[in-house]
Amino acid sequence: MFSKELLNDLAKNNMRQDMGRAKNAIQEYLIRKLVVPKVYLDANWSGTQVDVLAIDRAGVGDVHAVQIVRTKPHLVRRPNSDSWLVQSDSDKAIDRLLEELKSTAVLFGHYRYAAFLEPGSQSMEYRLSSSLLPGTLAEDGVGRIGILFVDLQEDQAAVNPVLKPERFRSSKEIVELADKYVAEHTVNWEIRDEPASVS
Amino acid sequence: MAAVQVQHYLSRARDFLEGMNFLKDDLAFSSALLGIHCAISYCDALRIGLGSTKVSSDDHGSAAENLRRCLDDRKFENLRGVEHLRKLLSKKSRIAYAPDAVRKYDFEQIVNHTGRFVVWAEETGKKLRIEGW
Repeated sequence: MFSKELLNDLAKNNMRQDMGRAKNAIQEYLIRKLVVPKVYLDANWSGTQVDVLAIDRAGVGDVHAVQIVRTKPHLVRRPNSDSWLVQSDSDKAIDRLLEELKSTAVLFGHYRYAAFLEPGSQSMEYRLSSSLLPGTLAEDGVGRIGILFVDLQEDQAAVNPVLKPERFRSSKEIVELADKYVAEHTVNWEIRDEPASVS
Repeated sequence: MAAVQVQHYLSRARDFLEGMNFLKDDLAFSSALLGIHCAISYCDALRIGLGSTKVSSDDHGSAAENLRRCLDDRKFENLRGVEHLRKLLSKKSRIAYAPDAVRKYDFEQIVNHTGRFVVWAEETGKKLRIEGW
Protein backbone atom coordinates (compact mmCIF):
# COMPACT_ATOMS: atom_id res chain seq x y z
CA MET A 1 0.00 0.00 0.00
CA PHE A 2 1.20 3.52 -0.76
CA SER A 3 1.01 6.11 1.93
CA LYS A 4 -1.35 9.04 1.54
CA GLU A 5 1.64 11.41 1.55
CA LEU A 6 3.33 9.52 -1.26
CA LEU A 7 0.15 9.56 -3.37
CA ASN A 8 -0.22 13.28 -2.69
CA ASP A 9 3.39 13.89 -3.72
CA LEU A 10 2.88 11.88 -6.91
CA ALA A 11 -0.27 13.82 -7.76
CA LYS A 12 1.51 17.12 -7.13
CA ASN A 13 4.42 16.04 -9.27
CA ASN A 14 2.07 14.98 -12.10
CA MET A 15 0.34 18.34 -11.91
CA ARG A 16 3.68 20.17 -11.98
CA GLN A 17 4.76 18.14 -15.01
CA ASP A 18 1.44 18.77 -16.75
CA MET A 19 1.84 22.49 -16.15
CA GLY A 20 5.38 22.37 -17.53
CA ARG A 21 4.27 20.55 -20.67
CA ALA A 22 1.41 22.98 -21.10
CA LYS A 23 3.80 25.95 -20.87
CA ASN A 24 6.02 24.38 -23.50
CA ALA A 25 3.05 23.72 -25.80
CA ILE A 26 1.85 27.31 -25.42
CA GLN A 27 5.35 28.56 -26.11
CA GLU A 28 5.46 26.53 -29.34
CA TYR A 29 2.05 27.90 -30.31
CA LEU A 30 3.14 31.51 -29.78
CA ILE A 31 6.40 30.96 -31.65
CA ARG A 32 4.33 29.86 -34.66
CA LYS A 33 1.78 32.66 -34.36
CA LEU A 34 4.14 35.57 -33.67
CA VAL A 35 7.12 37.07 -35.50
CA VAL A 36 10.37 35.88 -33.86
CA PRO A 37 9.11 36.55 -30.31
CA LYS A 38 11.09 36.46 -27.09
CA VAL A 39 9.34 34.02 -24.75
CA TYR A 40 9.57 33.90 -20.94
CA LEU A 41 8.14 31.23 -18.65
CA ASP A 42 6.87 31.98 -15.11
CA ALA A 43 7.50 35.66 -15.69
CA ASN A 44 7.15 38.14 -12.87
CA TRP A 45 5.47 40.74 -15.02
CA SER A 46 4.14 43.97 -13.62
CA GLY A 47 3.68 42.37 -10.19
CA THR A 48 1.80 39.37 -11.59
CA GLN A 49 3.10 35.84 -12.11
CA VAL A 50 2.49 35.10 -15.80
CA ASP A 51 2.80 31.47 -16.92
CA VAL A 52 3.92 32.30 -20.48
CA LEU A 53 4.91 35.79 -21.59
CA ALA A 54 5.85 36.48 -25.20
CA ILE A 55 7.04 39.80 -26.56
CA ASP A 56 6.54 39.90 -30.29
CA ARG A 57 9.03 40.97 -33.00
CA ALA A 58 12.27 40.13 -31.21
CA GLY A 59 11.13 41.85 -28.03
CA VAL A 60 10.15 45.18 -29.58
CA GLY A 61 6.48 44.42 -30.34
CA ASP A 62 3.24 43.62 -28.52
CA VAL A 63 3.11 41.77 -25.20
CA HIS A 64 1.20 38.46 -25.07
CA ALA A 65 0.39 37.09 -21.60
CA VAL A 66 -1.02 33.61 -20.99
CA GLN A 67 -2.39 32.31 -17.68
CA ILE A 68 -2.97 28.58 -17.37
CA VAL A 69 -6.15 27.72 -15.51
CA ARG A 70 -5.90 24.91 -12.98
CA THR A 71 -9.59 24.02 -13.11
CA LYS A 72 -11.25 22.16 -15.97
CA PRO A 73 -13.63 24.05 -18.23
CA HIS A 74 -17.33 23.24 -17.92
CA LEU A 75 -18.37 21.73 -21.25
CA VAL A 76 -21.81 20.92 -22.62
CA ARG A 77 -22.32 19.09 -25.90
CA ARG A 78 -24.25 21.19 -28.40
CA PRO A 79 -27.52 19.60 -29.53
CA ASN A 80 -27.36 17.72 -32.86
CA SER A 81 -23.69 18.57 -33.23
CA ASP A 82 -20.20 17.22 -32.59
CA SER A 83 -19.07 20.45 -31.02
CA TRP A 84 -19.03 21.53 -27.38
CA LEU A 85 -20.03 24.72 -25.62
CA VAL A 86 -17.77 26.18 -22.95
CA GLN A 87 -20.12 27.36 -20.24
CA SER A 88 -20.06 28.91 -16.84
CA ASP A 89 -20.32 26.36 -14.03
CA SER A 90 -22.05 26.70 -10.69
CA ASP A 91 -18.86 28.06 -9.08
CA LYS A 92 -18.57 30.75 -11.76
CA ALA A 93 -14.84 29.96 -11.87
CA ILE A 94 -14.38 30.94 -15.48
CA ASP A 95 -16.35 34.18 -14.99
CA ARG A 96 -14.10 35.11 -12.08
CA LEU A 97 -10.99 34.32 -14.06
CA LEU A 98 -12.05 36.41 -17.03
CA GLU A 99 -12.88 39.29 -14.70
CA GLU A 100 -9.45 38.97 -13.10
CA LEU A 101 -7.64 38.97 -16.42
CA LYS A 102 -9.51 42.08 -17.52
CA SER A 103 -9.25 43.97 -14.30
CA THR A 104 -5.55 43.36 -13.75
CA ALA A 105 -3.55 46.52 -14.19
CA VAL A 106 -3.57 47.92 -17.68
CA LEU A 107 0.05 46.84 -17.96
CA PHE A 108 -0.90 43.18 -18.12
CA GLY A 109 -0.54 42.76 -21.87
CA HIS A 110 -1.71 43.83 -25.28
CA TYR A 111 -3.01 40.30 -25.79
CA ARG A 112 -4.27 38.21 -22.88
CA TYR A 113 -5.19 34.54 -22.86
CA ALA A 114 -6.68 31.99 -20.48
CA ALA A 115 -5.46 28.46 -21.22
CA PHE A 116 -7.31 25.37 -19.98
CA LEU A 117 -5.91 21.86 -19.77
CA GLU A 118 -8.47 19.82 -21.68
CA PRO A 119 -7.63 16.23 -22.66
CA GLY A 120 -8.59 15.18 -26.17
CA SER A 121 -9.33 18.72 -27.31
CA GLN A 122 -7.17 18.55 -30.43
CA SER A 123 -9.78 16.81 -32.52
CA MET A 124 -12.85 18.52 -31.10
CA GLU A 125 -14.60 21.76 -31.91
CA TYR A 126 -15.49 24.20 -29.13
CA ARG A 127 -17.42 27.44 -28.86
CA LEU A 128 -17.72 29.82 -25.99
CA SER A 129 -21.33 30.13 -24.81
CA SER A 130 -22.99 33.42 -25.64
CA SER A 131 -23.42 34.14 -21.94
CA LEU A 132 -19.64 34.02 -21.43
CA LEU A 133 -18.65 36.03 -24.50
CA PRO A 134 -19.35 39.49 -23.03
CA GLY A 135 -17.13 38.56 -20.08
CA THR A 136 -14.15 38.17 -22.38
CA LEU A 137 -14.39 41.77 -23.62
CA ALA A 138 -12.77 44.84 -22.12
CA GLU A 139 -15.31 47.27 -20.69
CA ASP A 140 -14.80 49.69 -23.56
CA GLY A 141 -14.61 46.87 -26.10
CA VAL A 142 -10.95 47.48 -26.91
CA GLY A 143 -9.54 44.07 -26.14
CA ARG A 144 -10.83 40.52 -25.85
CA ILE A 145 -9.33 37.69 -23.86
CA GLY A 146 -8.33 34.70 -25.97
CA ILE A 147 -9.24 31.17 -24.85
CA LEU A 148 -6.88 28.28 -25.49
CA PHE A 149 -7.29 24.58 -24.76
CA VAL A 150 -4.12 22.59 -24.21
CA ASP A 151 -4.29 18.87 -24.98
CA LEU A 152 -1.65 16.87 -23.15
CA GLN A 153 -3.15 13.48 -23.92
CA GLU A 154 -1.68 12.89 -27.35
CA ASP A 155 1.93 12.00 -27.99
CA GLN A 156 2.67 15.63 -28.73
CA ALA A 157 1.06 18.29 -26.56
CA ALA A 158 -0.92 20.75 -28.66
CA VAL A 159 -2.83 24.00 -28.33
CA ASN A 160 -6.32 24.43 -29.73
CA PRO A 161 -7.45 28.08 -29.95
CA VAL A 162 -11.11 28.33 -28.94
CA LEU A 163 -11.51 32.12 -28.97
CA LYS A 164 -9.21 34.48 -30.84
CA PRO A 165 -7.86 37.32 -28.71
CA GLU A 166 -8.27 40.98 -29.64
CA ARG A 167 -5.75 43.64 -28.77
CA PHE A 168 -6.10 45.63 -25.53
CA ARG A 169 -5.09 49.27 -25.36
CA SER A 170 -1.39 50.08 -25.26
CA SER A 171 0.31 52.74 -23.19
CA LYS A 172 3.68 54.40 -22.75
CA GLU A 173 4.08 52.42 -19.51
CA ILE A 174 3.58 49.02 -21.09
CA VAL A 175 6.09 49.78 -23.86
CA GLU A 176 8.67 50.98 -21.33
CA LEU A 177 8.02 47.98 -19.10
CA ALA A 178 8.52 45.60 -22.05
CA ASP A 179 11.83 47.28 -22.99
CA LYS A 180 13.02 47.07 -19.38
CA TYR A 181 11.89 43.47 -19.01
CA VAL A 182 13.73 42.40 -22.17
CA ALA A 183 16.89 44.17 -21.02
CA GLU A 184 16.88 42.65 -17.53
CA HIS A 185 15.60 39.08 -17.89
CA THR A 186 16.96 35.89 -19.37
CA VAL A 187 14.76 34.70 -22.18
CA ASN A 188 13.52 31.09 -22.36
CA TRP A 189 13.22 31.07 -26.17
CA GLU A 190 14.50 33.39 -28.87
CA ILE A 191 16.33 33.22 -32.16
CA ARG A 192 19.96 33.84 -31.33
CA ASP A 193 22.63 35.05 -33.67
CA GLU A 194 25.99 33.35 -33.89
CA PRO A 195 28.53 34.88 -31.52
CA ALA A 196 31.20 35.87 -34.03
CA SER A 197 30.95 35.31 -37.75
CA VAL A 198 28.03 34.34 -39.94
CA SER A 199 28.49 30.91 -41.49
CA MET B 1 3.82 58.09 -48.04
CA ALA B 2 6.98 56.15 -47.24
CA ALA B 3 5.37 54.93 -44.01
CA VAL B 4 2.52 53.36 -45.97
CA GLN B 5 5.00 51.56 -48.22
CA VAL B 6 7.03 50.42 -45.23
CA GLN B 7 3.92 48.90 -43.69
CA HIS B 8 3.03 47.26 -46.98
CA TYR B 9 6.45 45.56 -47.24
CA LEU B 10 6.41 44.64 -43.55
CA SER B 11 3.01 43.05 -43.85
CA ARG B 12 4.21 41.01 -46.82
CA ALA B 13 7.41 40.02 -45.01
CA ARG B 14 5.56 38.79 -41.92
CA ASP B 15 3.11 36.91 -44.11
CA PHE B 16 6.00 35.12 -45.87
CA LEU B 17 7.58 34.36 -42.49
CA GLU B 18 4.40 32.75 -41.19
CA GLY B 19 4.25 30.71 -44.38
CA MET B 20 7.84 29.58 -43.97
CA ASN B 21 7.22 28.49 -40.39
CA PHE B 22 4.00 26.75 -41.31
CA LEU B 23 5.58 24.71 -44.10
CA LYS B 24 9.08 24.08 -42.80
CA ASP B 25 8.46 20.57 -41.49
CA ASP B 26 6.77 19.26 -44.63
CA LEU B 27 7.54 21.32 -47.75
CA ALA B 28 11.19 22.27 -47.71
CA PHE B 29 11.48 24.05 -51.09
CA SER B 30 8.37 26.14 -50.58
CA SER B 31 9.35 26.99 -47.05
CA ALA B 32 12.88 27.99 -48.09
CA LEU B 33 11.65 30.24 -50.89
CA LEU B 34 9.18 31.91 -48.56
CA GLY B 35 12.03 32.52 -46.13
CA ILE B 36 14.14 34.18 -48.81
CA HIS B 37 11.23 36.33 -49.99
CA CYS B 38 10.49 37.24 -46.39
CA ALA B 39 14.04 38.60 -46.10
CA ILE B 40 13.71 40.50 -49.40
CA SER B 41 10.50 42.15 -48.21
CA TYR B 42 12.06 43.10 -44.86
CA CYS B 43 15.01 44.53 -46.80
CA ASP B 44 12.61 46.54 -48.98
CA ALA B 45 10.83 47.88 -45.89
CA LEU B 46 14.13 48.99 -44.41
CA ARG B 47 15.39 50.55 -47.63
CA ILE B 48 12.19 52.49 -48.24
CA GLY B 49 12.17 53.59 -44.63
CA LEU B 50 15.76 54.75 -44.97
CA GLY B 51 15.08 56.84 -48.04
CA SER B 52 15.48 54.56 -51.06
CA THR B 53 12.93 55.25 -53.74
CA LYS B 54 13.28 52.09 -55.80
CA VAL B 55 13.34 48.53 -54.49
CA SER B 56 12.61 44.93 -55.44
CA SER B 57 14.21 44.99 -58.86
CA ASP B 58 14.91 41.65 -60.45
CA ASP B 59 18.50 42.09 -59.37
CA HIS B 60 18.06 41.01 -55.80
CA GLY B 61 21.82 40.61 -55.55
CA SER B 62 22.23 44.37 -55.30
CA ALA B 63 19.63 44.65 -52.53
CA ALA B 64 22.07 43.72 -49.78
CA GLU B 65 24.65 46.23 -51.00
CA ASN B 66 22.03 48.94 -51.27
CA LEU B 67 20.81 48.18 -47.75
CA ARG B 68 24.37 48.36 -46.43
CA ARG B 69 24.83 51.79 -48.05
CA CYS B 70 21.57 53.04 -46.52
CA LEU B 71 22.73 51.89 -43.09
CA ASP B 72 26.18 53.42 -43.60
CA ASP B 73 24.53 56.75 -44.42
CA ARG B 74 22.80 56.59 -41.04
CA LYS B 75 26.09 55.54 -39.38
CA PHE B 76 24.39 52.36 -38.16
CA GLU B 77 27.11 49.99 -37.05
CA ASN B 78 25.37 46.62 -36.62
CA LEU B 79 25.48 45.19 -40.15
CA ARG B 80 25.13 41.52 -39.27
CA GLY B 81 21.73 41.34 -40.88
CA VAL B 82 23.25 42.33 -44.22
CA GLU B 83 25.45 39.24 -44.08
CA HIS B 84 22.45 37.01 -43.38
CA LEU B 85 20.65 38.62 -46.30
CA ARG B 86 23.62 38.03 -48.62
CA LYS B 87 23.66 34.36 -47.65
CA LEU B 88 19.96 34.05 -48.32
CA LEU B 89 20.05 35.82 -51.68
CA SER B 90 22.96 33.66 -52.81
CA LYS B 91 20.76 30.57 -52.38
CA LYS B 92 17.65 31.84 -54.14
CA SER B 93 18.38 30.60 -57.66
CA ARG B 94 19.60 27.24 -56.43
CA ILE B 95 16.43 26.65 -54.42
CA ALA B 96 14.14 27.83 -57.21
CA TYR B 97 15.78 26.53 -60.39
CA ALA B 98 18.87 24.33 -59.96
CA PRO B 99 18.63 20.78 -61.36
CA ASP B 100 20.66 19.18 -58.56
CA ALA B 101 19.45 17.99 -55.19
CA VAL B 102 19.47 20.31 -52.21
CA ARG B 103 20.62 18.96 -48.87
CA LYS B 104 18.50 19.07 -45.75
CA TYR B 105 21.29 21.09 -44.16
CA ASP B 106 20.86 23.84 -46.78
CA PHE B 107 17.18 24.16 -46.00
CA GLU B 108 17.92 24.35 -42.30
CA GLN B 109 20.49 27.06 -42.96
CA ILE B 110 17.94 29.12 -44.89
CA VAL B 111 15.43 28.87 -42.06
CA ASN B 112 18.14 29.83 -39.55
CA HIS B 113 19.42 32.79 -41.58
CA THR B 114 15.88 33.98 -42.17
CA GLY B 115 15.08 33.90 -38.45
CA ARG B 116 18.27 35.76 -37.57
CA PHE B 117 17.76 38.30 -40.33
CA VAL B 118 14.18 38.94 -39.14
CA VAL B 119 15.34 39.49 -35.55
CA TRP B 120 17.98 41.93 -36.77
CA ALA B 121 15.55 43.72 -39.12
CA GLU B 122 12.86 44.13 -36.44
CA GLU B 123 15.38 45.52 -33.96
CA THR B 124 16.96 47.77 -36.59
CA GLY B 125 13.62 49.18 -37.78
CA LYS B 126 12.75 50.03 -34.18
CA LYS B 127 16.17 51.47 -33.29
CA LEU B 128 16.25 53.69 -36.36
CA ARG B 129 12.68 54.80 -35.61
CA ILE B 130 11.63 54.09 -39.18
CA GLU B 131 8.26 55.65 -39.84
CA GLY B 132 5.61 52.97 -40.34
CA TRP B 133 7.59 50.29 -38.51
